[in-house]
Amino acid sequence: MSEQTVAQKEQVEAIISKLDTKDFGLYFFTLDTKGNPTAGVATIYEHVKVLNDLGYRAYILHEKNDYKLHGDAEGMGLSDWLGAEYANLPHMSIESQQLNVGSQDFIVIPEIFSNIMDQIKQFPCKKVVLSQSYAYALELLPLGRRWTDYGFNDVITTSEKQAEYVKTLFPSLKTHISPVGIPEYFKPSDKPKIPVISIVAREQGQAAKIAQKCYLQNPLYKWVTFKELRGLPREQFAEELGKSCLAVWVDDVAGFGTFPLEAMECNTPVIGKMPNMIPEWMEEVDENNNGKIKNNGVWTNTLLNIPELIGTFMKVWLEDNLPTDLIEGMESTKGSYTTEKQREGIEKVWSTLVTDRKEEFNNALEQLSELETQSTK
Amino acid sequence: MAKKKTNITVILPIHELVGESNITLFKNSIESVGKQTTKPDELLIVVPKGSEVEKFLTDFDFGTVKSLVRIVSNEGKTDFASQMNYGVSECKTEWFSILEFDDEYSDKWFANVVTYREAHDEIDIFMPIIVDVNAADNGFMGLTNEAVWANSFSDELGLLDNNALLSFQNFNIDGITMKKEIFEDFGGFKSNIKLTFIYEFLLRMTFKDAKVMVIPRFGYKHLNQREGSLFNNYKNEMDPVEANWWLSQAKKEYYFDNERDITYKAEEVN
Repeated sequence: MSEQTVAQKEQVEAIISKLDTKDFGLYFFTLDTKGNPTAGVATIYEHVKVLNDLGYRAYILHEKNDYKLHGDAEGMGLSDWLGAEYANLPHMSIESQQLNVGSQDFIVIPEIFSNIMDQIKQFPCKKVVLSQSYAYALELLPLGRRWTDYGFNDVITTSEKQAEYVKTLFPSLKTHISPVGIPEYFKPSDKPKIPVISIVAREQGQAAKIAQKCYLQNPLYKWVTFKELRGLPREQFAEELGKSCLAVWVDDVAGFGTFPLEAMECNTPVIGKMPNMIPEWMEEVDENNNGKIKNNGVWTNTLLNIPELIGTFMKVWLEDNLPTDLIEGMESTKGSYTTEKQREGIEKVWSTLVTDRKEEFNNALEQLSELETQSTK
Repeated sequence: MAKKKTNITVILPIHELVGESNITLFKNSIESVGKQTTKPDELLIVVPKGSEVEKFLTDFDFGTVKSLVRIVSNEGKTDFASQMNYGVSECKTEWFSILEFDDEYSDKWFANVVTYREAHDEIDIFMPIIVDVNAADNGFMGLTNEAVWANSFSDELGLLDNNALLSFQNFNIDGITMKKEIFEDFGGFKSNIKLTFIYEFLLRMTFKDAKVMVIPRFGYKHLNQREGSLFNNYKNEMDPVEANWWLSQAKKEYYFDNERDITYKAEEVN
């Protein structure tokens, strides 16, 4: 047996040993939002937190050194909008040049950053895509290229539907599903609800337009307050949502649709425009096994009638006459996406990814052993 | 198990009840008490002593609310304010609510009062959002009391305060559910004030820091412009100069707890 083969075998055995003992790094590339709250970034931090709790060495990986963990005169930092426990998680930046990955390590890149995927394609580590918003999958990807071209053969996503969609684009990808978890601070207010309507809309300015149309079409309810929740710290966001009598949601490209679930956990009914990809929690099957839209919210396929629906909702709410099927539908959905389930999902996905990685090296080891056998003959 | 008491008395002042339509309105009004999902402890009907309406109600079939009804009669002034003051003095619960004979509560009004009272123990007075309907055809006219829920209307969303009230007068005490103690300590209605006695009352309550919240629910249906009603008569008979004078008086009188001698003299105003 050649010395080279022996050295390779030892290297591979060392990698397997590190994978067995969780002696490797998991680097989650994350956009530094400079203190602006975003649900997608919060989910990445949740992954990193759970993985550290499970004994892995998981890091938030930023591009630049000046990532903003704490607030200053210019505004919030991560600790302000997501919490100190998240700001205290291990962070690292590419710019600091401390990143030194080996074959045992994993790098996770959000789907939008295919430019980063290209830059790190030579890294020896395992490379994984995290896809929360299918709509961004092709945003920066050059025409004709695939994630697999950059050595990304696995994708973690949040629902079966997103996984199916990604497979239509990149058929050879292996998909892993890690559902979103709604934090426990999304809960009903301890006070009765107030005539405030919380709005979350993907496009800037859309919330104001809905409020304006609503006042024009329903002048009787011009005293009802609309509140756009964009940019609020997560717990304050949850508190406002819990107080509101109604939540309005417009997000055509939602990948999972977390906001309506957060509202339902707060016992706040939702009026929403059905997104292009109908979320799994919005669908059910009837007695003939035909798919249909669930009554766990007021769902419409056009923006145009949302102000009218708000007017109708306000009337029945003020009359204490909310439809029972709406309340029952919300109840049936509540509790489906807990942080406990998310934690289990993350644990399962990473256990699979690590096992698969080990399998790769075990196969390599077998091949090296065969080489060894052949050379002895 | 005995039902939990709400500790609320409904006070329904009435000084006359003439004509079938008014009797129908009265029936609907007391039925709205009977239909409550959470019932008040008592329905106290205040009538003038020795009046026709007192006699009429002696044999009246109160149906489902019979067990709640107690009729009391007052002597002296029989205007709405005086009858209410008397009713409150006869009230045995810590809270009371005002019902006019031609109006109706919504079915869940007291259920909501109990819910909000438990959640907001700092509140002294709960007001409903009133749905105003036209006496002629029962058609919808508008809402009253809802403005406190408009952003920046008052210091605190949902609460009525003195400053807000000074710049916007359109609030009504129909259906109001309040602490008897506050009513008695801060002074009741002032019967010497015409037209604006409700406004003066609310100004006084808020001036003395009573916490007034509007429960954001349609809690009360108010019949507007009924022939013969107190405010319809004011509207038809009072000239605008006098109306303005009473408005200015309300803004002066609310500093005083007790009723003062106050009479409109047209020749002095003009």
